[in-house]
Formats: sequence, C-alpha cells, structure tokens
Amino acid sequence: MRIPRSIRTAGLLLAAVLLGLAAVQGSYALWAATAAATPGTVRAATFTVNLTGTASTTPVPMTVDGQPTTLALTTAQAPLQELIRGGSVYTPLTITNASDAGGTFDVAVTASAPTVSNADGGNLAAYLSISAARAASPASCAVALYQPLATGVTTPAIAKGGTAVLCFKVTLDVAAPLSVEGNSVAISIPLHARQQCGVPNGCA
Amino acid sequence: MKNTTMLKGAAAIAVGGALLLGGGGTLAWWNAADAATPGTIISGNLNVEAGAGVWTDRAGNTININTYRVVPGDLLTYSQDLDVTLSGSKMAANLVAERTGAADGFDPASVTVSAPRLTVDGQPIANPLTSSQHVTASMTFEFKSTTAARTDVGKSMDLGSVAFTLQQIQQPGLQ
Repeated sequence: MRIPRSIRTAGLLLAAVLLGLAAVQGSYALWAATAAATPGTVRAATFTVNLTGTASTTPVPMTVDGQPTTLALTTAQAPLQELIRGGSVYTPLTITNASDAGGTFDVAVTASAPTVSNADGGNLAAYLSISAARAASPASCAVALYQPLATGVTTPAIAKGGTAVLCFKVTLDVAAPLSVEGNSVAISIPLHARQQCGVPNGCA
Repeated sequence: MKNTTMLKGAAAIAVGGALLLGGGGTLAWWNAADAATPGTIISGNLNVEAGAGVWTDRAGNTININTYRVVPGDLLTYSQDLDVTLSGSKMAANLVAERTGAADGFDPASVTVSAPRLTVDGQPIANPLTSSQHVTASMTFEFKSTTAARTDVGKSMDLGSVAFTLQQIQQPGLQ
C-alpha cells in the first residue's frame, strides 16, 4: 500500500522531534531541580573485653578472630601445692571494657561453674571448692565476700574504658585425706561478657 | 495620435489621485489611532537546595558519623534541611526523595534503615507543593537490640546517596 507523501513527512518530523527531546534528557517535562545528600557510612563498634591476670600485666582479649581465648592464672599469695586442709588460695582477674563504641556501652562479665580436672590420676578435685567475688581492686581479694561459682558470679556494669575485678578462691576441704597430698588439678572457669542496656532505651 | 493624448490625460489624473491618497491629509476619510502596553512578563522560580546533614543518637545528641561506632540498641537519625523555592501564579511541584547506591555489610536481620521521610513542622509533606517551604528530610538507622552473640562486630554500611527531586507539574484545573 502506498503511503501518501504528506503522512510520511509528518512521521519523519515527529520522529525527529522525539529524538531531539530524548537527546536533551527530557527538558520538555516542565521545570525540575535536584539536590543530593550523602549521609555517610555507619560503622559498628568492636566488642573488645580484655583480661589481665596476676601472672602477666599484658591484657588478653576474650576473643581473637571470633574465637574464645584462654588466660592462665596463678594464685596470689601461695603456690597451689602448699594448700592445706581448710586453707584457701586466691587470684585476681582484672576485666577491662575496651570497646570503641560511640555511645554508652556497658558490659558485664559472668564467671560460671568451673570444670575441675584431676591430674596424674589423683582425686584432689573432689575436695576442692571454688568461689568468686567482686572486688574493688586486685589487692582486696583477701577480704572479698566470696560466693560459690555454681550459680555464677557477675561483675557490676563496666562502662566503656572502665575496669572491674573478680577474685577466684580455691579452698581445700578440711576432711581431705592424706591420699590427695601432692595431687594437682586443672581448673577452668568460663567467662561470658554481655552487653548491658547501657544504650538509652536500647533494650526496650 | 488622438488616443495617445487621451492616455496621457488619464495617466496624469491617476498620478494626481495617488499623490492625494499617499500624501494623506486632504482626503477626507476618518482615521483613529491608539496604543496598548501589554506589560512585562516575569517568570517564576523552582529550586531545591540541601543544607548540611546532621546525625543524632537516640537521645538527640549530635554525633560525628565518621568516628561514631554503633552497638546493638543504637538508633541514629540523619536529618537534612531542604530549602524549597517555588514561585509562579500556577506553580506546583512534587518533592520526592530516593536513596541509592547503598552498600550494606551488616546482617540484614540486625539493622533497619528507614526510607527518607520528608516533613514540614513535623508533618509529612503534602505533594504537590505550591509555595516555598522549609522541608526536613530524615532517615533512621537502627542496630537492633535483639542482635545476638558478636554478630556484625566491626561491620560497616555505606548509606549511599539521597537524591531530592523537585518536579514541576501542571496544577489540576489550571492550564
């Protein structure tokens, strides 16, 4: 079918107008203005809690690469092998909240039921009781008020940059037989750090 | 020869008449003149300008997002002032905000980022706008307090760019 010349001409003109409008990015669409904002990048804080024992003054983070670490402690006032019936030894642990959180960020650390393993085939573990206490400083472990660890002992809230002290005490039963003399045990106390509701209304 | 004389006479009469008409004045036809002053056409204006954005924490304290580190429970708000200029007898425009280009390193279950919200005096804007206004754009970032274990420790989220577009429209009924 033959298309009249006038229609073809009109079609070409329309196509040219459309192409022209498209090429100038819609200037036919009335006025427009834009402004932009760049809110920036939000970054999460680290959750770093450091432990310092009496054996070393070097802080050890509770986790490294997301895995729990182990801190070896020694007793403060006497070697463990000199523990006598009814006697106790203790050791302090200093806990530091080293998070770089921007706002309020309190944590609390809980020491829970220990695992006591006999070494060298002995039976000393059955005659030991392990307790813990909050303390104002490592030097005050001798006079701290100890509680059994079976139900857990928790530090007060530790503010960002702040510290708390837990003391651990090991007591030998007065009825311990002579057969445990010279025995040794390995005591492992798990520690859990938890964020407190320090962020205003953060736990609502 | 006689015809030639007649032609010359007719031509002289025609020239004389033309001179009378062209010279204006003595030909007794009515004339009148007047003038109009259409006046000056002045165009309106349409513009949107963004001020400096501000981040605040849940308590409303201003923070520096470049140094601030969020923890579970944090609720941060980004506010941006927008000066919208609209003038014109039939001016109307829609203001919209769109966030693009975000890069999220957080677990999606741990955070909530709201869409940009446009308000005037605390109330959502009602498009189309027909006059100049001081608009506040805001969006929130919440690090949920239900985040467990050590999820998202040290992660970051680039919130990208928020584009505010003020687009003129034709007011309904006003063409």
